[in-house]
Amino acid sequence: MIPRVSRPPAPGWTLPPTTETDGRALVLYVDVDDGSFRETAERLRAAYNVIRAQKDREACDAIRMYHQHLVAVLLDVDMPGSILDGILLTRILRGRVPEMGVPPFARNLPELDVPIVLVTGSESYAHEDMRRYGGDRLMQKPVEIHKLTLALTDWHLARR
Amino acid sequence: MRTGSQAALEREVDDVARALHRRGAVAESIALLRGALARDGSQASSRQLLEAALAGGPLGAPSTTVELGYELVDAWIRRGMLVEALALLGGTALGSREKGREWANLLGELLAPVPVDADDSLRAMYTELVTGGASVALTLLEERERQAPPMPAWAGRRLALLRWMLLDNAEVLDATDGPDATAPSELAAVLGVVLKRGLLAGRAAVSELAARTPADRDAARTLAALDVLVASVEEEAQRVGASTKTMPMVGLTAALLQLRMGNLREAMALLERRADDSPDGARARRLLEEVDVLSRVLEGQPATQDEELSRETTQLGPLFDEPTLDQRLDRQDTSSAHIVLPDDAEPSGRLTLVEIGRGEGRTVEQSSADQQAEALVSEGRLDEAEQVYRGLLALFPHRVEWGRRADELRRQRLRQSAPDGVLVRAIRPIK
Repeated sequence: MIPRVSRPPAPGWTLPPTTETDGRALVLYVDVDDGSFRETAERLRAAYNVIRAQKDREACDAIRMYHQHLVAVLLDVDMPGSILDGILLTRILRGRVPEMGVPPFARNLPELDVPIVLVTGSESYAHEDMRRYGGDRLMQKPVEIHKLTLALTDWHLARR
Repeated sequence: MRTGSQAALEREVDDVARALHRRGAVAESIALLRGALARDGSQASSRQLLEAALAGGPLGAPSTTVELGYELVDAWIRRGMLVEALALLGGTALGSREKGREWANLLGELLAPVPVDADDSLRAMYTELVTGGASVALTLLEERERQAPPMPAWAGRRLALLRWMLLDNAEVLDATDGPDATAPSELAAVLGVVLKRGLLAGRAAVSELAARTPADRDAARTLAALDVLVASVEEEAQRVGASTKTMPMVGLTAALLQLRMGNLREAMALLERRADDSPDGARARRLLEEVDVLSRVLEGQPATQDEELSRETTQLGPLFDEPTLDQRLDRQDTSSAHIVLPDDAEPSGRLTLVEIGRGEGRTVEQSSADQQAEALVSEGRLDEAEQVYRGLLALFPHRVEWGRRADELRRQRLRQSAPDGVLVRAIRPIK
């Protein structure tokens, strides 16, 4: 269920229209944590279809399959249980790792011209560090729809 | 040349960006400035701030005290500054409080990218939404709704959201929002309803006051002005509603939409641009007079400047008198004809303005810059041609024909990007 707005968001406003949505923009979310995925997907679903990969190998398969339809990729910074963490996968996706340093399952990935958002539950990472590695934004889990949309809008406007 | 209201808005945006930056909301500050520049690329100070923010430098303190509250968010949404409003919510505690969060999430849904395989008109709608063209986006969606195949559900939801934000809420009454106690007069306070809730609500409020105070000439004149404006908005709505053709969301149509929403400053700016020698000039000037009455009253000045003027402006003739072709040609101003020549002495083809004196007869020199722009048009590079015209217009604001040409090119571009023409009906009939 899409969260319903139960009352006007600001003085003087009527209730917004409510309609179940479909066919929304596609986002890949890579995180092994079920709870985090559920919460994020729930928050984003009003405007985004969220597909999920749990680990690095699955993420690469999903990118190969859906890269032409994705509007953003959200990667957990730590990615426990994977060979690659979110930072290394970001660097690979941005073509910043020599082929010999890339595990076979992550080689020859299609070019990905969409924002990469690194997500974390920790306070110990800095936004600027993520940018250095080729990420476009660092966000706290669970990701809020308005934060993701603002980041994607900024990305689009910067490329105009 | 920038109008006072544009300059004030730019200052406001810059100050909010500085305030967000100082709070550590750097990404939101950058997004805010990018949104503002996408809406109006001529904001030099915003551009400087953006460059400073991207370079990691400080932006300095706001030039005035800025209240980062829901009122500002509300005002920005009503102006179609949706990206800026979202950045403000995301960059402050407003977006994490229950009320602000709901609002932020609705904007987050509205401004979300469209699916990669969305059709061209929906992609054009998205571009308009994130570049300050919310009302154009609304008309694009309305036009798309009438076409086959049916719109996807997410697009229908965005249409409903946009109607709700731009139209429905321009006319709702807020029970907690009484007349402004700081207004310079009772009439100004009552007329303030126009700004908050739109033209129709404002007319109803002033009508009530005029009935209560029949001897108040200012109230009567204000009501007369509102009557003219409401009639014009309704007439436009019927005209557009009856037309089966795609209508441009520019000029008077856009001005009347802004009027309906109670955005007097934006409406005045649009009307002023049409009030010179455009085919709609006479009508624009007439409407401008009436909007000017409202502006004076809001500032606490008398609605009637003198008896004669009052009689003249309240006994209104047909609003839709169009000048004849001869009249239009006679009005054409050749006194300030300029020729723009490339200056070989300057690097990178800079242009130099040469005044060639008062024009004779009806001959107007075609400038080399015009030719360059038209050459771009003939090559299909409409975007660049439009930019050339807008650049020229910024240098020579009196050349309204360049503004018109730029607008034409913009419409042409959008038509090309969406099948069957997409710049469409602007105003829904008023019930």
